[in-house]
Amino acid sequence: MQVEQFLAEFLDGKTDNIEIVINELSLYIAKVFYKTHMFDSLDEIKSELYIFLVQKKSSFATYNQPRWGVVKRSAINYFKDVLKKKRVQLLDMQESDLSDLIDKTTLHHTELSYIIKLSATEKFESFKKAFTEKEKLTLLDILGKTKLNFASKQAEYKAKERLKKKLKDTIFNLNLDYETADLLLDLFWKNTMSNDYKNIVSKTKTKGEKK
Amino acid sequence: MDFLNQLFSVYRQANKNKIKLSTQLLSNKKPEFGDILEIYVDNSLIIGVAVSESEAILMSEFWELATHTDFIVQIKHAIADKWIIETDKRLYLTPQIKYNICCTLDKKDKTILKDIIIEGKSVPAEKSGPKIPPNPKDPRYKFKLEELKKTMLVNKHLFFEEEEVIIPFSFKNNLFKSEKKAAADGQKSFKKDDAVILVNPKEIVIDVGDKNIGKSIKIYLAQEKPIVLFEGIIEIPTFVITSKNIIKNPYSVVDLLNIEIYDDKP
Repeated sequence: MQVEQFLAEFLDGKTDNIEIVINELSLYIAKVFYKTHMFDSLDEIKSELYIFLVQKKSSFATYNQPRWGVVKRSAINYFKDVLKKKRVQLLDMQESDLSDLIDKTTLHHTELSYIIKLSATEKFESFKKAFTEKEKLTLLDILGKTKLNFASKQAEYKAKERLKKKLKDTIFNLNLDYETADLLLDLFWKNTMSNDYKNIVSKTKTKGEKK
Repeated sequence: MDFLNQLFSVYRQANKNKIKLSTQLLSNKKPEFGDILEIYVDNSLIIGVAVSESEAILMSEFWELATHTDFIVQIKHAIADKWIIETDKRLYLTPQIKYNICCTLDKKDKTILKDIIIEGKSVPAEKSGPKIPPNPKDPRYKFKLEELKKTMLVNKHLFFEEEEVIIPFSFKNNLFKSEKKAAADGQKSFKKDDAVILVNPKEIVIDVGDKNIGKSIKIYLAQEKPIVLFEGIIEIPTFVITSKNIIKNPYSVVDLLNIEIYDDKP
């Protein structure tokens, strides 16, 4: 295969045919990452590939097997990180305050904390939208953050059981792991401590007290 | 699409990458605990960590899809530096499986891995992924199923026993005398050299019987310059010579076909 030969030349220090290697590799990466819709042009992929090949040159040069397949797999691994950076940039623009909140939360999985944070930030809006205002208040009650007054003990039990089931379904529908679900509840609690919520909670309390 | 789903779509595409390795460069040197193996099977490169001479654990560079049973480690490999050891995915190696030892786990990770697989301890939380509900829509759940398929490439010998030795050969008509009666319309059976031979339109089945297992065999077409079809130890007593062309001369084929069985090597 010609491209394999050009790759070998590049690893030996000759750069004459590197364009052909980059072209071939960029088409492959575009195909693999097509469904992510995160790379607009081949030029963007190509410029990243230059960096990738220079960074990994010594590693490939010492690899004692036909290298083309391994280079392709390694390029995918490199572009995973590029994809991650792009996602974070997008989130930073939209949800900088949320990212800030997440950064202050201690996570159990230090190796994966970055991914869990990313996942939580991505899903927080959908998580919030899944619940009505009344359910959010009940959720705060379940979390022990506030005390709501219900019409009766039976009504309280029913509302809480219904919400627990909905919470389970939401975790399932959003493909959340337990760590991210915990983080979202934590975020939810911090996020609902705004003055608006404090007012709603205090109003509900007053109503209950009057009864 | 969220990040983990995007990553899973990338993973699916990446699995289609076929890697051609030179099997001559694969050492099959006996591995030690913690050695990282590059296993070459079915045009795929599978990475695993050895736990004994004949057993390894599957690894993947898609560490972002890790769950609580996966152990995240750093190794120096041309593909990636960060990997997961999928402690619930075992690979059972046979002498037929070709592999290479490329590097080894560091001392600390070897100790942790020993604790996990020998002592039955859990993977340390800070070096593993989160626990996920059994949700078929979750990309991490889907990833686990795909990885299971990968182990099957190596472990298929545990489930499927080989029943015959396949020998591909292209029978050309000019090799034999022409026969009036064509064989394409049915099968013909013969007995020759202590073997039963069945000629089908596109294959020849030779059965030498279980009593000859372990002996040496040489199957060849007697020509001026003999054409050797198979030579070696009989592990499975049935040999199937397959042909792309229809075998039009069954009598001539059997005439030319020689089967020699020896107690020792010929």
